[in-house]
Amino acid sequence: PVDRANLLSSASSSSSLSQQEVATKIKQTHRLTVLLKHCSEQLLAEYVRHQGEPFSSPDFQPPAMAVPGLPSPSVPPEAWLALSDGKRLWHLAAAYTTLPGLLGSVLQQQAELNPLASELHRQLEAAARQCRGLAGNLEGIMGALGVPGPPPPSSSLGGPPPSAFLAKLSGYHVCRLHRDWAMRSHEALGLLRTKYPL
Amino acid sequence: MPYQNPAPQAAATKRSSPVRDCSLIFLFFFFAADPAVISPQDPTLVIGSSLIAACSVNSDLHLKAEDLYWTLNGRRLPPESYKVLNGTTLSVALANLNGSRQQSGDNLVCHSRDGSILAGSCLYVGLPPEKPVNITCWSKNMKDLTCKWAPGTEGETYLHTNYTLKYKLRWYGRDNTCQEYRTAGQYSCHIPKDLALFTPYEIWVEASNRLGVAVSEVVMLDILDVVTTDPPADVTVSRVGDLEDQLSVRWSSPPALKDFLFQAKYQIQYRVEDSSEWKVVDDVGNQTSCRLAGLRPGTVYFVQVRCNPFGIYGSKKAGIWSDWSNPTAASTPRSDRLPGVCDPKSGEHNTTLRRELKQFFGWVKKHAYGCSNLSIKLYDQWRVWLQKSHKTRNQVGEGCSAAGRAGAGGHIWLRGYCLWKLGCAFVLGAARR
Repeated sequence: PVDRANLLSSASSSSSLSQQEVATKIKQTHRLTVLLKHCSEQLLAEYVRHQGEPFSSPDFQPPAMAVPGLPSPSVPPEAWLALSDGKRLWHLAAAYTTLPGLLGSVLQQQAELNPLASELHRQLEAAARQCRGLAGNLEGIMGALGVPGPPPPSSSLGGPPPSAFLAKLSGYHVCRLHRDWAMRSHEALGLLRTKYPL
Repeated sequence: MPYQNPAPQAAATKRSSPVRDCSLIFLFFFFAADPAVISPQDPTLVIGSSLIAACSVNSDLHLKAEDLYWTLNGRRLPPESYKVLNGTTLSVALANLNGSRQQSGDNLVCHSRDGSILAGSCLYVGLPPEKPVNITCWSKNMKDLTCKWAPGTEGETYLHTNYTLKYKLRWYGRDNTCQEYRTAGQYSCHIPKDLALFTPYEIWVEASNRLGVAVSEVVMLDILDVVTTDPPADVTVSRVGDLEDQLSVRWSSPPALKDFLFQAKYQIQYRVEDSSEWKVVDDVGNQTSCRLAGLRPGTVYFVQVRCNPFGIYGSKKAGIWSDWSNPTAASTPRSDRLPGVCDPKSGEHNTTLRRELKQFFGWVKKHAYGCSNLSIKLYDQWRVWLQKSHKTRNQVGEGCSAAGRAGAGGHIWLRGYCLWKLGCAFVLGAARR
């Protein structure tokens, strides 16, 4: 699918965008989340394929682990839907400013663990790019709606390189959360789209 | 799919959000220390070796060694191979290990009784690399050098193997490393510049993986002895007057080697349109033209030429054959010429004719610029194009029915000649509009 990562030029100034322009931006962003939903599923499947069992088995139960800086969508689904648009957007923006760095780290680790898995590398890079695009779009929408944005993400996860197994595991968590956030963002933008129809 | 709740033992740290009235928090699931530790971590082993690994659980988890079990790549390991080392440590003995199932390492995992994963370690089991073999190199127009090689024996070492191509001038000390890999297949490398002529190079390949390094034999060569070039340019194939069994092929020598005092050798290959068997003409020498004889009348032929830059700068050695030139087509004159009368014999021919006409018009519209470029060649070029698109076999076959081989060829040509005339008329008419 064509990558429609679409960064806005003027970001934070609360905008003089017309209702029409906001609605267009929301529609565009919604379509981007459709792409992300599809790609994130593919990425997760491609990722586990290369790590071997038990990662690739359908009933894989990963332990929750320390992935510093990664916001998990811990708000249960019913509460998520009960949030205001602004709060939802805020959560999404926070996730999507953090995900690109995390996906980049996974790419680095997979370059060592699976040096020949060029398709996986390509998908990880594309995923980071798409997340950056979505973050930019969200920033634009939030600016237009007067919703304050989240703080910028803390600098990258330093620390010693993890062992191979931990690298496989944290990569799995990142890909899984990328997918979960894609589903949530798709849902949220869908709701927004009905409220700001074209 | 909702996010799964973390294991009950996880401690959660709260972080407040700056949004007012927001009772939402991000939960970072953080173990004060890892739940368990496996030793050794990420070992590398030779196929067939044995390993004893130990899993030590964090005492905070209140788990006992007896509560643990092991899996390798998802498969549970037999309890007979376990041994309790102390209250919180369980070991497992693995024997006669097979090569790693995936290059990222086999997953040896320590679980608690309920199945949850406590720790893991990746095993890298394989063989040290074999010496790479069969190094062959070629230089395109003496400007660069590409080499390829094969991994030793079956090449399956189960571990990721890195290949490095190195080269140095024979009588100067410095080793150079090739940088551009996989330009001509998986085991290849390309050296783009700074190559000396008239002086031998030593070239070798080093293979390395987690278990060791293997170096190939050194190959010695002079760039001038492995030169290849571009295919000959401007290949044209034309009729020899009215002779129905001959075609004349002309070309020019590849321009890149103009100044290098070489004797080119050429080879021609040709085939009939609907055959895949090429006939090779070997003894062309270094002329830039050749006459093909003994051909079938009224038949379309495809012709290709290639070049070998033999004896560069007076060297006695042959170079390496270039790629074949793009196929050029021409047709031999038909035996009995019916002057321009289109006479489809049956309804069957009629529909085929109509179909071919449409195709030809479509093609002529795209590829012919002005009627001055039209000639018999246009029809021949169209046939080359058709051949390339693999459409010919399906379309022509149906029309050329029971008539014998030579006759079938004649039908094609006859319809082609009419088509060409019609096509020309079409283009002229369209241009005048």
